Amino acid sequence: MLTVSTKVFNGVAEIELAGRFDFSGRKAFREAYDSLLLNAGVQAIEIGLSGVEYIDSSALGMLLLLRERAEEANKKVILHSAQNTVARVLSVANFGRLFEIRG
Amino acid sequence: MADLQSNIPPEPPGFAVNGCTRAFKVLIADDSRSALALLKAVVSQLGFETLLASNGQEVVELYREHAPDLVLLDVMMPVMDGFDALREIRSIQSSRWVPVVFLTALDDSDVLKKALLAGADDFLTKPIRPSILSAKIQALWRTLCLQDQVLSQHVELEAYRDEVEEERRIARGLLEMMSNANRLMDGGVRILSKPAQHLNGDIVAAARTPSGKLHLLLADGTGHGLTAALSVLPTVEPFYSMTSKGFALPTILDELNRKLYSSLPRDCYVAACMLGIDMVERRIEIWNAGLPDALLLNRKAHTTKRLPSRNLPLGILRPADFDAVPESFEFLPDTALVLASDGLVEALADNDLDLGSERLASIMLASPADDGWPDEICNLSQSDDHADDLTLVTIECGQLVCNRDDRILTSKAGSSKAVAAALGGDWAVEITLDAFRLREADIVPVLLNLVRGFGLEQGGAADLFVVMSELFNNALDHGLLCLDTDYKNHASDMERYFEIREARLERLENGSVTIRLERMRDAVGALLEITVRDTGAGFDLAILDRVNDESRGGRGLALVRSLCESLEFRGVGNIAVARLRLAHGSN
Repeated sequence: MLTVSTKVFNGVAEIELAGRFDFSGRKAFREAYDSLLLNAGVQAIEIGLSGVEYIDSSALGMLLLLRERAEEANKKVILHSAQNTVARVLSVANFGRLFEIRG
Repeated sequence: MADLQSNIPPEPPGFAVNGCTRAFKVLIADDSRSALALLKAVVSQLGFETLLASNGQEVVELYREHAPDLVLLDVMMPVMDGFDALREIRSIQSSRWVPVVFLTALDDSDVLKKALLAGADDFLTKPIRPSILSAKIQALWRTLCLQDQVLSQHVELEAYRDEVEEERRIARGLLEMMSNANRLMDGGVRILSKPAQHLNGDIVAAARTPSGKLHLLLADGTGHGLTAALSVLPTVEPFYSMTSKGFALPTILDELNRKLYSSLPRDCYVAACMLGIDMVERRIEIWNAGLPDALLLNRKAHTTKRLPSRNLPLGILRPADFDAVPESFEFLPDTALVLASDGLVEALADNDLDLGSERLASIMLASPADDGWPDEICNLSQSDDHADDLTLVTIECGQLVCNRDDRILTSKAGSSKAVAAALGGDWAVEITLDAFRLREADIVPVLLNLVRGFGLEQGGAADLFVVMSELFNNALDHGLLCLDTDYKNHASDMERYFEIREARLERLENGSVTIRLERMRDAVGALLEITVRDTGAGFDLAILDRVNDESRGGRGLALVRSLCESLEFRGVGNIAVARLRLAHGSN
């Protein structure tokens, strides 16, 4: 189960994710960012991963999709606060080359 | 009768439930003719079909013959009473629930208890009040409609499942045929593969280049099952085809990335690890993109070198942004290589990739090269409880055979005969590559392909490939990159050698290499003259004699000498001319 909570402040949208980030969360994740991409007042989307305990390749795929859409909408995507295994998965996939990743 | 008529309630409103329009059949049993008539009237009034019985025997017969949806059963009947009739009915197998309502004159709780325990679903006490009977039947009817719905959904679901099973069966057959790693029967290479579902999203492909170099690819598509298997599929054909033509790792990886980038949706990618083991050059190349650490085990020293993923998986970067630079290591006979997909590594250490790789290394080091899979691995693969595909590949360098695979090349012999006949006699082709092209292009396989079109005799292609490759590498490494003086004979320096080579190649701005191939004839027969010329300063021909067979450059030239009729160095040592005798039997 993936829980998604969104808030926008000062041109930056924060999507806080928690739980299992996998295929079952695709709808919730997608819905969270769809409207943000259309929002002209948002310049950057930050994805908070501190509560994510599990991430798999389909979730990485979802991030890739978000990245493409964000590029088209001229918005930046930042991933932050990944813990342990999640941080490791991102590092093995070398996603630091595609996203700004903060601790 | 007038009394009875006034007791029958009018047709109830809102009759259709869930659009259920099937005509229900109600079996009514009572030994009293008047009771039977009343019941029939109420049921018919509701719009249902009726079947009438006056004793238990008739009930059972009618039930068997007409399969009613609902039964109204009197308890006291001749020949066979209600209880016995009920037992008979219940003993008839059915996938549907048929409610049975007992009609009893007795207001005896014992009888009622007995009735319910015998399988009755409800009861009505006589004298039957039509309004209550009607209400009860409608309530039961709502539940029967629901049952109908569930049963039809079940039938639909079963049909759908059969379709999916069939699709899977076909897909599995196709995938197995296309990605069959058994194409390579190579001692020293062991593969363990256990999919999570029916289709494996991991593939392992292994093949030899014309010069006998072993290429191996482990690829893992996003997710698992059909989507993962389909994501990984486009890598198979280019891998085999380009390996058989002798293309180098970076060129093949470039093509794999290009293919996946253009054919996969944006959220799908393929994590991969590709290896190249060159026993002649004594070099192992590894490129890891998104898979757990590849392990380089030194069985003699009992040490492990972990090679983490330093690249983005395939299919993510635009072709223009993609650049595969494999890491190089020395090939030693006591080296073993271990590759695993994340499913296996995570299973070894409860989702901890780091710990899992560590465990895998110690398990594999402890397990002798000749034995089967170690217990810990067998246990993992035997349990059915894993969410991800499990794949493990080990390569024992000491057990690899150093040979060229002529089979790959001779399979094309048939078609080139026709071309040879058309083109006849002698020909020559020359190509020059400047510094820029030298950095980018993988020229030898391209030339080989061109030459094959001219009709090369059996086995000739493999030899030609080796000769061209060795002379070309020699011209590039020593002639243009000036790598002679830096080479020493130790493992760590070997890796350093490759690092320096990469760096110098990257910076190369001037110079060129020309390869010329000419087919000619002399008194003995047909031969190919291969000339490789570089614009470097050449080298002292005297050194050539001192270069022993064990040194890197020496090995290559020794091999060329063994294959060719002659090998000469001309000019200032920057022109190599080799003559390769072609098999007899051609014009």
